[in-house]
Amino acid sequence: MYSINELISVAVKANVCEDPKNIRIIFPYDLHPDNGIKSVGGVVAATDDKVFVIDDGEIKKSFSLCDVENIMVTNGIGCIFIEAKMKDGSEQVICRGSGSSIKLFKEAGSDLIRLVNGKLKGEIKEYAGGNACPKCGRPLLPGSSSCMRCTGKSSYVKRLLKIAYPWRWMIILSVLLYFVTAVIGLIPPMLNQKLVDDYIQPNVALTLTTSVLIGFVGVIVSMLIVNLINRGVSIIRSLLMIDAGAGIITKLRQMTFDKIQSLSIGRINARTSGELINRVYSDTQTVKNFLVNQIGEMIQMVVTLITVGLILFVYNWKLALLVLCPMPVIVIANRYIMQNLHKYFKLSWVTSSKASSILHDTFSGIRVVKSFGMENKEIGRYKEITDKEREVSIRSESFAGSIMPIISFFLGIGEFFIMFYVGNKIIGGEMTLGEMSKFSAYVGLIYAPLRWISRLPNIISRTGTSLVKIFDILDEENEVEDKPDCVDIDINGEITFDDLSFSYDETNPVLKNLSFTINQGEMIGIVGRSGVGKSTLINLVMRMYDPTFGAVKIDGVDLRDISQSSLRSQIGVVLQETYLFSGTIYDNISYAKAGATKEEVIAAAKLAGAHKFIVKLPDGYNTRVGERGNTLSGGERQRVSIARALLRNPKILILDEATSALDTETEKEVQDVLYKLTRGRTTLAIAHRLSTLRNSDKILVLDKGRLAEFGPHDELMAKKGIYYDLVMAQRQMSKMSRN
Amino acid sequence: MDINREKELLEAAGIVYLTCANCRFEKKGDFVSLDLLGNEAKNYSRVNLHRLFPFDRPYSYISVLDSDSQEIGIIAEIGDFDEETCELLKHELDRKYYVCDLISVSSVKDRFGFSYWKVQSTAGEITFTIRDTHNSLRENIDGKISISDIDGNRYTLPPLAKLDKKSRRLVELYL
Ligand SMILES: Nc1ncnc2c1ncn2[C@@H]1O[C@H](COP(=O)(O)OP(=O)(O)OP(=O)(O)O)[C@@H](O)[C@H]1O
Ligand SMILES: [Mg+2]
Repeated sequence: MYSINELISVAVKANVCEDPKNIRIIFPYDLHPDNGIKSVGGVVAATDDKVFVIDDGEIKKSFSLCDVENIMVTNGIGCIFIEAKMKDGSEQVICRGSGSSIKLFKEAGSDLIRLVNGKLKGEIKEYAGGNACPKCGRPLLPGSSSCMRCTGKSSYVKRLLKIAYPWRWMIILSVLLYFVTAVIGLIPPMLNQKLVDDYIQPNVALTLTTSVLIGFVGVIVSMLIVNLINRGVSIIRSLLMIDAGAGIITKLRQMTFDKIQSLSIGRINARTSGELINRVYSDTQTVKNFLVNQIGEMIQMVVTLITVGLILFVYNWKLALLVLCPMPVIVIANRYIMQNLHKYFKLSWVTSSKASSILHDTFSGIRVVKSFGMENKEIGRYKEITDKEREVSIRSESFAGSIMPIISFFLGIGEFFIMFYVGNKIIGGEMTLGEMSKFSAYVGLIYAPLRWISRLPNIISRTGTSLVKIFDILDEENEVEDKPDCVDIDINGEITFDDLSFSYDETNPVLKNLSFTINQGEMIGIVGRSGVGKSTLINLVMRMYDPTFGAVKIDGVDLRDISQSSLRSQIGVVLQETYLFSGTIYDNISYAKAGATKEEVIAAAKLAGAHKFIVKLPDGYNTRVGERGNTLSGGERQRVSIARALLRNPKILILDEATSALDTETEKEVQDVLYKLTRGRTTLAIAHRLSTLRNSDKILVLDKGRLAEFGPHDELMAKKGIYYDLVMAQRQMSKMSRN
Repeated sequence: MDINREKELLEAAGIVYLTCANCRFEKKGDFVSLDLLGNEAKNYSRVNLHRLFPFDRPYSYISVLDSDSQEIGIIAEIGDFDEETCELLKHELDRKYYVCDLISVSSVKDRFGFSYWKVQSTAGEITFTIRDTHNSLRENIDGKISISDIDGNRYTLPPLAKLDKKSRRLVELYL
């Protein structure tokens, strides 16, 4: 990005004007206005009477402002234009910028418009591009003040241990037991030596006395006892960890699930359900395994490595070195393996998420699948992804399968040297058979941790992948977040939109400059074409998203200053896509209010016109509705959702096409009841069937993302605008269908 | 029987396909104007072009819209027009759809549902951020990989098979 002085000096060099003070607007653009793809460092400068487009230090184009009729900022795909419409009817491109300059172009464009209209006031100013992170210079995400990439979080392992803290005693005890196992493991080779040297092949001829027999039996019994203790310890250890393991996994799952629940819709939409299920389900499993099994194992291995290593060194350091000589090879190989395995684990994580997503998708949409007879297509789709999973696992297994034996071989090489060395000693009579058996038992012992080290990359990659995925969710910053000083308020129900603009993706605005006030207790009908932004508008009232510009206020308080729980607990909503949970009708209605009495539930159902059909069901309110409520008809589902919203007895009621699936008669009944009930409560109702809105105090008409008309029915009819046309068109339709 | 059903569907939709026989495109100012010929002759001093299958068929199935974003007709294949018109349309499309060509990927870091990319483009090294990575990368019919970032910028990478090993490894994860 250039500073404003740099831009001015470019303009002055290009002879835009003598005195830089005459420049009113100046800004850079980064794409060639005309040519397909080349990026250039261009500048647009405007004085009071001319606009200059400078490219490569030369003026490429200039217009007299008095020839310009209008300036427009238009979106391309992946780029944005500022265009001029000339008074002679021709249209010109002034400049073009990449997606990153959208904000800059919009601001600069509005100033150019003001300049053309002679309304531009004030000094020349610098237009902010996207914000950049002060640390790494990368563009900041819209709406966030700190760069997520740079936020330092304390190490994952440390935080993981914190999570396991409540079970610390069990874990420590189990680690101690692992320690005990390691130490006990040192005893059998010693007994072994005693057995061989003293009894099996003693140096002096042995006479079978009682004391010899006792000694012999003693050694055997000690071996038995050691073995018993070892098994006992491992039983205790497993029992201990069952509890800790179950506790930890529940806690991890709960934490991830809680976090996902608290994320805003926007953030959840950014991930597939398969991914989320994977995180809650299998990643926590992997991490738990690490905590309860692998940490202890690690301790056991380290203890064995150190103690046996010491014993070997003390006994014969040359031999010990022989044993350890393959170590460097292992270390180097491990690094290589690690990199590759990591890739495979990531890949397998991704494929398994995709597989769960497909499962989720197909099962949720099973009715569509079946009614279009597309079972085979879905089977194919699932087969494709499982094939991919298979391929990934073959790739990773064959990688591991071919590399591991090689490592084992190198590991084993030391053993050959040792055999050679030890054999020599025995032949030379420097070593007894018992000593040899002890020694080779220790060598055997030390190979266990060495082999384990070669498995370490596998463990670390697997755990690491899952750990990152879990913390990735846990650390996620919510876009819609409660401010630390947010307040709980008692809503009266006045809703104000204050010059609000909103877009889902920062590029294509859905709602533009909405300003209006809905008084407390009014019933507002919202109409407009499909896709104009009606549902978006009510999403903003519920603060599912935060506005891009401007604000929504309730009773004069910005929504961002109200705690989300207090806001939502006072809003009742029937969403456009009615969703029932699997459970009973009663469960679904009482969902809205914890501890609602049966009477309340029945009353809400009655008001919503649901009671009528519920009494006819054999199981009444205890009727199970199936997943997503698919055993009820569309209209029945709608009435259950209305009951759910009414049960809240909300201060603000939002109805998004709440009665669209009902026949006109039932709708009228429900509407009339709603009307009685909602008097004194602010109600926002969206409907395409305009008769639905006949009880509304005012009608709000959206057109092309803007507020087109707002006022009582009669007033809008008299105005003969968009609303009038809509009403007339619908009357025409109903007349036609009556004929 | 089936052919009849197809025909019925096509007729019912009544889509106007623009060809050199029923219309003429011309350059006007920096934009394109359209003259509809025949019975319903009409002049549009400026039309906007919109790709219907931007990833699969960038130069076929182009929707032609008037200044109110109402569709006038569809160009099935711009190659059906004479060379000059074809160039004009192609130029207009390439200008409206800005795509930055990438050569290789140096690093990708996943964090909190966003991914941060460092890549080599034909114009040097650039970095960008993607929201919802899995839905923002796609493999086109011709194997090229299209990427859209949070600012709405578009990028393309060469097909997987033509990428260097490291880039392939990084990108593969998201396809
Ligand atoms: N989550 C989303 N992400 C991106 N774009 C969205 C999202 N939800 C809606 N849109 C887009 O925003 C626009 C407004 O959508 P909205 O749902 O508010 O329309 P609507 O007025 O309620 O339409 P309808 O009458 O059909 O329900 C549409 O163009 C839609 O494609
Ligand atoms: Mg809607």
